[in-house]
Amino acid sequence: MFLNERKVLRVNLSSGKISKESINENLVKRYLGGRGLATKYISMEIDPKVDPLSPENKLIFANGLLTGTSAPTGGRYMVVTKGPLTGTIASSNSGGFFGAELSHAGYMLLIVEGKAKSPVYISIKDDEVKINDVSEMWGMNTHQVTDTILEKFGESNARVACIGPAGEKVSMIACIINDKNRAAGRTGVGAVMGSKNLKAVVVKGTAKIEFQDKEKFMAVVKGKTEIIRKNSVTGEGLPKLGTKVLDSIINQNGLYPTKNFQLGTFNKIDEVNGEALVEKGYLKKNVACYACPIACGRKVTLPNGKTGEGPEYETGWAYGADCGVDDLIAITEANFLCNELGLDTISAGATIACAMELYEKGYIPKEDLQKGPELNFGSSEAVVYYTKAMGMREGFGDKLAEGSFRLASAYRHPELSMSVKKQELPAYDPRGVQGHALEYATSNRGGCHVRGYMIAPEILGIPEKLEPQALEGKAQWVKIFQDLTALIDSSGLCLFTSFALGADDYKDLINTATGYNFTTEEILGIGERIWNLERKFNLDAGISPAEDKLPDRFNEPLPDGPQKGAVVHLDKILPEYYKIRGWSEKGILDENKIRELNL
Amino acid sequence: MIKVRFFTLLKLFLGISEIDLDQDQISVKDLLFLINEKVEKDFLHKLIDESGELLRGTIILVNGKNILHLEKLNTIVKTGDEVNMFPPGGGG
Repeated sequence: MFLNERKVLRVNLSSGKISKESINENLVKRYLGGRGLATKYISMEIDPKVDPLSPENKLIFANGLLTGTSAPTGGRYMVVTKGPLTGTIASSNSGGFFGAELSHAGYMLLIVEGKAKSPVYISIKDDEVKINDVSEMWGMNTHQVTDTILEKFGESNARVACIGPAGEKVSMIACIINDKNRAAGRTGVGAVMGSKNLKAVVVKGTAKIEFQDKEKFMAVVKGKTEIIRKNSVTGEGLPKLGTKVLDSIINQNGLYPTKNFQLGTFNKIDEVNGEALVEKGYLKKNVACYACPIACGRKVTLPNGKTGEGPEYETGWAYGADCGVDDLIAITEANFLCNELGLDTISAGATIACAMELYEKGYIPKEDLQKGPELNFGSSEAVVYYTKAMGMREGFGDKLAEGSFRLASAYRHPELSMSVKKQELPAYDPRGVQGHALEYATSNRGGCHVRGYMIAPEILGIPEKLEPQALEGKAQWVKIFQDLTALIDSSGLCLFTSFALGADDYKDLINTATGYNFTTEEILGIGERIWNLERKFNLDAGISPAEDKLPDRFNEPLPDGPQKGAVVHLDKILPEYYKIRGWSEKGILDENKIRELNL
Repeated sequence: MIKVRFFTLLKLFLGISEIDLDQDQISVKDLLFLINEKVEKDFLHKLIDESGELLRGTIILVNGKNILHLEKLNTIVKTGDEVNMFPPGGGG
């Protein structure tokens, strides 16, 4: 099977209809696969104003162009839909092995439509696709349902993507879990799956992917893999410490958000950082996704015998410093719970942090907590208890399951939700990094760091070091990072390759795999097209450019650390960003831009 | 005294988290070589390349400020200053 022979698999849960269709090559050349192609399908097929939890929304499991090949890290896939947390386009990226297996079954996209009358799961074995009754599996956590379905399915090395109780109960911050510990995490994609009464997808694929010139492709694969292995970040830092290599770096640079972004440094960092995970003996080995030479995943076992994967940097921060918690065991247990219940760890931890500030300020009455412990910063008990309650929508957990913005608004203090477009901000205080602040404000899926990871140049010095407080030139950098990320997310490769590879490298991999002749400029142009398509969808969905803003807290100076006194200066660089993007002063796309980009 | 703190893989590699040095008005470059002599393991290759330049992604802070925005390896460190050292790292 050649890459371009992979099909769209369409499953309508309302009618039970299953169909397959070819993909127009023109679409692939304009959007590649993954995030780009699926966003195009969403744009073509749903009304942007649709209720995300209605049967009219669609849920797309989207493989990248190179997913399932031996391109280094060629195992990523996206889940693309309209996100219930934000009302924006939602595209969550995940690793593991599910995407590659779906690719080997012959599919680039799995489009799920409608809503089943009662809970079901989809089984795929190459051409054979069925909708199956879930019966007693509804209610199981993600690990239980994965094991049960694999046993029923009976195919060796099949892969499962599923929701836990959080998705079934349509939590705004529910995620989709594949291979038990990988997550299409953000923006409530798990709630969309739950709203369709879809519990899981199990897939077995046996096709071998062919290439026009296999030798040429494999030579390029070998070359890029070598670059990744030799690079200090992807060849040493990430394999040995995982993403928690960042804890000390971000803390010592003074932008490690602590206690719901009230502080920029955490005085108990040594108890919970990446070094601690190793020194305390919890880290047992590192874990790799499909075709990945980096292996940044963490396999851990706690002293009480509990075992699982993680925590990642974001998770360790959200349940750690953001909640004022210095207990690595509690943090790791909360992480395990999120994987089992199917919750986005960033939004879950950050929502608890928001609740802690609301509670300590007296805005949440104690009786609202019902049987739960007090929501004080630093409480290990609270982070574990309320994660479980959130996942099961029990007691006060029912309110937490709505995410921090809806929670804080219900208690009349929305300003205490550290979110953009209602999605919780991740583990970097924007006052410490002006370019990254702009990424937060303008990311198409709300508060997000990965879509334009300005931390790389502003803090890490990759590909070059920018002064974090400088404003000049930052808007252009943000655009380039956003466009490049959109390209990588559509190629099926992992974002972490960008610590070692550049646009030219992605171009080489794409061209030799497909026989296309893209230039580097054209490749980045694809990323720009995808970014603008997402923006257009959001505007049509009613998301105003006025939402390109940051919480008021960030106009107050950082109170501590080496960047004490810093504030954000969004008003100074947002107009420049709009101009560089070719949008109007009000941040709107015009017809010329739409035509120019061939959206 | 100049306090030098080691983080992430450097801390794990050396087995120490910090060292105090009775020095004043010393360049970061000279400080690196001085520490390399004092500690049991040769660690310079974790931070700088064969030509003596910082590896891309190496972070050295003096009182919280990255030396790439000061005088780079020629940045002068005084008594009472704190120096933080990180080999290249990344994530999300």
